[in-house]
Parts: sequence; C-alpha cells; structure tokens
Amino acid sequence: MAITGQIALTVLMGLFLVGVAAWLARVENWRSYTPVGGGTTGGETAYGSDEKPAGLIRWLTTVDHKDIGLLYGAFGITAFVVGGLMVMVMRLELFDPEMTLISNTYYNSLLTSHGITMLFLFGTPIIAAFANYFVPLLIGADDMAFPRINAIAFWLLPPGALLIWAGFLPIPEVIPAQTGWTMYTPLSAGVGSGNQANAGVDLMLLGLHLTGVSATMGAINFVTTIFTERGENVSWANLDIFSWTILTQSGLIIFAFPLLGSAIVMLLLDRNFGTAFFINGGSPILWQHLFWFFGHPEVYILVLPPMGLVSLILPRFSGRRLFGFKFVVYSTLAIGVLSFGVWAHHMFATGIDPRLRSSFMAVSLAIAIPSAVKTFNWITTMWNGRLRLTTPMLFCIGFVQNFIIGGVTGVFLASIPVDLILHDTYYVVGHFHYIVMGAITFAGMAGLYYWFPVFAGRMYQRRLGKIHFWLWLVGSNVTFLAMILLGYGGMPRRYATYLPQFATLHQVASLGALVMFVGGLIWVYNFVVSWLEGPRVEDADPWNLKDNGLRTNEWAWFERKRETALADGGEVDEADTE
Amino acid sequence: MAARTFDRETLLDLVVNAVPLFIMAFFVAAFVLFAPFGFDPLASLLQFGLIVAPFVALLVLTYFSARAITDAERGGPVFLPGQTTPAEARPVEHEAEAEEAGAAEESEPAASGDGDA
Amino acid sequence: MARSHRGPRFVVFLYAGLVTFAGVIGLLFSVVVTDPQPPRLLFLVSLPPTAFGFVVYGAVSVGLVLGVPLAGVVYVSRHVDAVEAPE
Repeated sequence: MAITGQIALTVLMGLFLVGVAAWLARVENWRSYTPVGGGTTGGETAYGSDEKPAGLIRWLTTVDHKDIGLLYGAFGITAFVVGGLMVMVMRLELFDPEMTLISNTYYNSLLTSHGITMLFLFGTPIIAAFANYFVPLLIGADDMAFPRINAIAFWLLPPGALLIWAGFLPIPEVIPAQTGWTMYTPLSAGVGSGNQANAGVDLMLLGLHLTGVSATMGAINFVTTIFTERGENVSWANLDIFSWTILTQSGLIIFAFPLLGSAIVMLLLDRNFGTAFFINGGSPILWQHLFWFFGHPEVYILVLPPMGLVSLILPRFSGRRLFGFKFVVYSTLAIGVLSFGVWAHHMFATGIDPRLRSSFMAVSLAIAIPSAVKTFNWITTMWNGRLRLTTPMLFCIGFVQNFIIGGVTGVFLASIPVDLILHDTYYVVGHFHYIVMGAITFAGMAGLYYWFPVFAGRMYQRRLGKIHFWLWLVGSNVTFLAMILLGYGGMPRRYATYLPQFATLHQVASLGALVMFVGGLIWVYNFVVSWLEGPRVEDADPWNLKDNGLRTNEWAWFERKRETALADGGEVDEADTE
Repeated sequence: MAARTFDRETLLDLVVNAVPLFIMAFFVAAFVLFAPFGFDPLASLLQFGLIVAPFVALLVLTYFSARAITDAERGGPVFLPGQTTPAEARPVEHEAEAEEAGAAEESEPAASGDGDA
Repeated sequence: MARSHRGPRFVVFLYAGLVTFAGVIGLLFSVVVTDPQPPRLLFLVSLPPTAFGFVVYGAVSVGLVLGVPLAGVVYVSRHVDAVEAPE
C-alpha cells in the first residue's frame, strides 16, 4: 500500500512537471507588451517591440528586468504549488495516527522537501520577482545594473529545483533526502544505519548550492543597482521603503549565502571524500553553528522585503503617508545588523556554554524591538487613516495580525528557560508558520494583488480575492493555533505519526490546511482566468492613489507605458491623460 | 559632535536604534556586575564579544546611513519616498516643517527637476 | 472601490480580536496540558490552574503587552502625528 502510494505520488509529481513544461511551451501565446524602459530621462522612450523576439525564445533570452521578474514570479508560484501539495499529503497522513497513505520515510522526504521548497524555491524567488520588476521602476533606473547577470541568476534556479526534487523523480537508486530542511549532521552526513548516504541527498545539496549562488548574484545586482542606477531625483532621502528593505536584504544575502555554500561544500566533502569537518572525529555541532549563522539571517532575508511591501501598500489604502517612515528605515537596518548576532538561539538545547547562551538571549531580545517598532508604525498609520479594505489591504492587515501572534509566540522562545521546554515541539512549528505563511506569504499575496493590474493589464475578480483572503486567514489561524497547542501538550516535531491523545488537534490542523487549500485553488483560478480574460484596466491609477497624493513611481511608469502603447497605434482607447 | 552632525529631527529618528543599543548595553552591564556563571577567559571574552560586536556594527551602520540621508536632504529636493516621478509630485518642505506637506501640493509652485517633465 | 473605514474603530477591533485569541489559547491550554502549574499573572498574582485562570492569564497578559503600545499609538496619533486623515 505504502509503495503504491509513493509510486502514485511520484507519477503525479512527474505529470505536474510535464504540465509545467507544456505550459511553458505555450507561452508564445502570451500577449507581448511594449517594452518601454523604466527610465525617466526622456530620450529613448520606446525602443520598439520588434527588438524582442517572439514566443518562447523571448522568455529564454530576455534580459529585461520586468520579464525576469515575471519569470521569477512564475517559478516562485510553481514552487509554492509544489510545496503546498507536498504539505497537503503530509496533513492527510497526519489526519489519523494509524494512517498509512505514505510510508514514514516518504513522510520524512516530503517534510524535508516542503521546507526547502518553500524557503529557497518560493520565498526567496518570489521576493526577487517583486524586486526585479519594481525596484528599477521605483528608483527610476533603466534596468538592473547587470541585466545579463540578472538572467543568469534566474536561470540557475530551475536546475537547482530539479536537483532538489531529484529524489522524487523516477531515477533508479536515487531517493529523496530525509534530513529535514536544517540538514543536521551526523544524519545528513550519511553515517549510521540510515539511508541518507544516498545520492539523492548529494543532489539536493548541490541544488541548494545553485540556488544560493543565484541568490548571491541577484543580491550583488540589487545592491549595485540601488547604489548606482538611481534616477535624477532619487536620493537616499527619497528612496522608497521597498527598495530600502531590498537593499538591506541583499546585504544580508551577500554575507549569509556564501557561508551556506561553504558549509554545504564541507558537508559534501565529508559525505564523499572522507574529510572530518562534522563526522569522523569532527564536530556535528559545528554544522549547526555554520548553518544557523546563515539560517537566522535567512529568516530576515525572507521577512524584510515583505515588511517593505506592507510598509508600501498599507499606507496607500489608509489614505495617508506611512507614519514614522525613517523609523522603519532605521529599524530595517538594525534588524539587518543584529540578525547576525542571534544564531545560537536555535541551539539553546545543545549544551552550549551558559555564558554564550545568555549573550544570544540578550541580542535576541534586542532584535525584537525594531520589529515591534514597525508594527507600532503600521498600527499608527491605520489609526489616523481611512481604510479601504481592498484585497491587498486585507492581506496587509492579515500580515500585521499574524505577525503579532508569530512575534509574541517567538519572544517567549527567545527566553532560554521557555525554549528548553518547548524546543523541538509543534510550538516552534506553529510559531514559525505564523511568520512564514501567515506573514510573509500574506505580504507576497498583497503584492501580487496590488500589482496585478501592472503585470496583466487586467483586473482580478475582487470577490474571489476576498474569499481567498478570508479562507487563508481562518485556515492559517486554525492550523497554526492547533500546532501551538500541540506543542504545549508536548507533541514533538517531524514525526509521521503520534500518540492517540494528539488526534483531535492534528485533525483540526489538517482541517485548517484543507481550508487554505481551497483558498489556494480559488487564488490560482482567479489569477489564471483574470490574466486571460479579466476586464482590462481602464485607468493607469486603478487604486485611485492620486486622490490622496500617494501615487508612487511604478504607477507613473505604468501610466507612461499605457500612453506610449497608445501612441504606438495599438488599441484605440480613451487615453485618460489627466 | 553628534549635535552638529545631525539636527534634532534626525536624532529623534535615531532613537529607534538607540533602544536595542540600550538593551545590549544593559546586558553587558548586568553580566559584568552579576556574572551569574562565573568568569572564564575564553568563554567570557566570547560572551562579551557576541554582544559588543553587533553593538558596534549597529552603531556604525546607523551613523553612516543617517549621514547619507541627512546629506541627501540638504543637498537636493525632498519628495515623499518613492514619489519622485509622478506628474503631480512636488518636493515637500524639509521634515522640520513637514506638517503642511499635504497643503504644499497646492500652494507651492513646481520646483525644478520634476522627473518626467 | 471599497467603502472606507475609520482607522480607530478598526484597530480597536483588531486589538480585541487578538486579546480574545489569547484568551482562547488560555482556555485550550487548560484542556491540552494535564495537571498544569498555577499561572502567576505578571509574576505576582497567583491564579487557579483552571480554565478560568488560564483565560484570565492569557487575555490580561496579552491585553497589557499589546495595550500599552496601543495607548502609545493613541498618544502619538494625537500629539505627534498631526497629519489629518483625508476625508
């Protein structure tokens, strides 16, 4: 039964990937739009759509930051769907302790792959999607500083994903990694009687390495772009908040990801060439130090740009400026620096020297302040505003709500005595899912809905957008609250089964996941249908930002693009030039 | 020195980073005064290094970013962040008298360098 | 376009929701954990280790943790953040 289930799932996954390939092959039907440069400096306004080849070749060869942004977006969303389907299988398996839908080892594989897919193949790329598309527009640059490096950085991702998922593909003798996303040694070093000496783990490590190289190249590009390619009037004083967070995030990537790469190489050497970094007399704890020195900044790599998105979008629907803009800028920078000084709070239970442990606790408490300050600013912005509850705004508010819950549950974990009790329980799982799903993904959705008219030139179905939001808000809170309670009850992480007393809460969690799954289906349907057939945007300012004097540069670019497209002799339409 | 480098407004903005600095300084003082786990040359060095290093790094980064922003404000027109190119965008008064930023839109004539003019 | 909502009412609603949420966690905590220790509110007031005790503990603790900053928000909005919300 278990074997059949695995084969069925593998076939499903394969079919899905074939479907993705087929879809990509059809993209030549995508309407191409006039590639007006984002530049604001007059001069060359439009350099003719015939410069871009048509069809698939366009997407394979493009160095236009907007096209690459769309590619990143498509990739990220694909990965999100894959990771989401993986967790749905896991939640089904956990619906009953006796369930044998999949084997325990296959559960471990899905667990590992779900984490890595969501963090490295969805989280980082979807942020890069927004950043590629909008940072040049927001800062008035013609394109990224290094357009070709930009393209290379993206094209490293699909092979990376294939390597990470290699174990699920029908390749003989290769099994998926079952190390957990943290890849703790000695398990991940392949020693002992387990099956983790398999080449599937090596392939995953190599894939991870590729995505790390990709992220680093992208980060160097963003730092250079924001430092050197800003438009005439875009001084440091006029830089928007999203670009500030991308700048800080890129700084973090440049320091954190090469370290992950090095650690992965060390692990590969240990696995294949008999070195002794982590095993054979080396220290397994060394891996945890190296991993978390990358891993904790990674948390902020994932959360800072979403904070920037919320700081950008939330005031637009509150009808006023962001309160304390510079507070948000400085606290972003503070988070960036301090994030490198807290890594061992993931390791309180490793028997580390209590003096060092207390230092990490001190910095962990200090880093809570800048996050709290941001929340304070968002709330103050809303307090004095008049709120328009559009779908992007709802997702921003959902972000704030889930971020508060995730933050409060997290502060407790920063305290050593509490952590020692709750370590490795579902409490931790609930806490970080509130942040990565409840906050980060919600902000990503806010961005997708907010800029959907820019991407598609069409509007999504508002009612479906709101249904999506409410299903996700309810589903995420049901699931992750159940996880927090499971943790209080002592349910350990990572297990494919559990004691009978945890059954009810696990079923509640699975139910919440199902609610989110339905919301996800509605979201995909809405985006696909609206992209193809939604009502065309009639106005370059679909959110009426002009009314409150809150229109930002990317919407001004959108307006110019529409005007140029009309001048090109496209559709005859009322150009609503002010 | 700081008083001459930054005006009162900027110093007020920097309070946000003074709080985590204060927390870290507080713990350094607490660990010096109480030393709950005793003193050991290596462990104690690391213990204080782990707090002092982020402290110094945060101080330095805050200083330089505040310098960059302040210099930019003094050296050129200040817009609402991210709103330099829309046709209706106008530079705002310096933050000190930003109270009437909304009103400035009507009352103030368009300054030079209006993005996509 | 969506109707506009007044900020204060909305924020207070959000606050009430979060405090209720903490109370619910307290209630369910007393169900999930067998034989818990009596909680001490603010490290001072000892509450009974019953459902009622944990509801009070959760709601009051989070109410304070979020309420004090919220009072700060109100203060700042009145005195520092003088920009009028457009109608």
